[in-house]
Amino acid sequence: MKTYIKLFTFLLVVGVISCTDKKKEEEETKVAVEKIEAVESELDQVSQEVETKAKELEKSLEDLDDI
Amino acid sequence: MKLIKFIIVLTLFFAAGNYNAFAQGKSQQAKEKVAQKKGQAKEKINKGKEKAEEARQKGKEKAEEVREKAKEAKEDLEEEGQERAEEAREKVKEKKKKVEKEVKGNAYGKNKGDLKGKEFGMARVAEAKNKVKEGKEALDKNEGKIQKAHERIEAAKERLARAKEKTGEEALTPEEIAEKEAKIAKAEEKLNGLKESIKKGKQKMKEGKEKLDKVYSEDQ
Repeated sequence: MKTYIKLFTFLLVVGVISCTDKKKEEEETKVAVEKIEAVESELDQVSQEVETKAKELEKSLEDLDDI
Repeated sequence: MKLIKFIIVLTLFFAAGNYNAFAQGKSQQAKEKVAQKKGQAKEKINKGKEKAEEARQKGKEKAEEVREKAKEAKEDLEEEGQERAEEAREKVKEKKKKVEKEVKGNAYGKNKGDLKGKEFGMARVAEAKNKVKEGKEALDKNEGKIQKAHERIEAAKERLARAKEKTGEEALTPEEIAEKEAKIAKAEEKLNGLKESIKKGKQKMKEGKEKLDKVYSEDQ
């Protein structure tokens, strides 16, 4: 009987620890993904700005052909 | 008795002559009146014709005006329709982008194959780093445009300088010169704007890469 109780307690502890770890890992992943998305968003913004300015420049250069 | 008869006949004769003369006078008056009335009638007819002509002219003008207005309205409608179509296209484009972003977001956040937890995060970091790499390549590509743009601006400046030296009929007016100089100035301004953006973009790419490198290294 004592063996069963010991085994049960051991499994319970392992279960609780693994569940806590998983939750922690999920939290970490969530934070990491948020950071990544923030970086990506910034990069998208910058890329878009550069593309827009490049197009504007191209248009201005086309106007120079009349000179 | 014979004398009385003679007097009566003479009287009758004179009376008849007078009556004839009176009748003739009356007939002349009537004729004049008829001629006058005819003249008036002709005048009236002429006036009527003029009025009809005027009315026809006015009608023509109005019809022309209505046609012009209809044409303008049609053109306005066409223009408006085109604008609306353009707006609708833009909206569809935006919605499509939004949906694509959402789908992509879901893929990033949840369904990365069978990966979960830290593995998923690492895969996501790798993907973002790849994006940074692509962004850098795009910046380099745009940086290549800067040199070409610089050359084109210099060439335009030289062309303008040569054009300024021309005299006679070929000579440029001060307005033309100002217009061309404004175009060059605008191109230079845009070029500087692009240079700034690329510089800023490179800085952001560098910072982004550093942030991505730190995402999991901080925890370890």
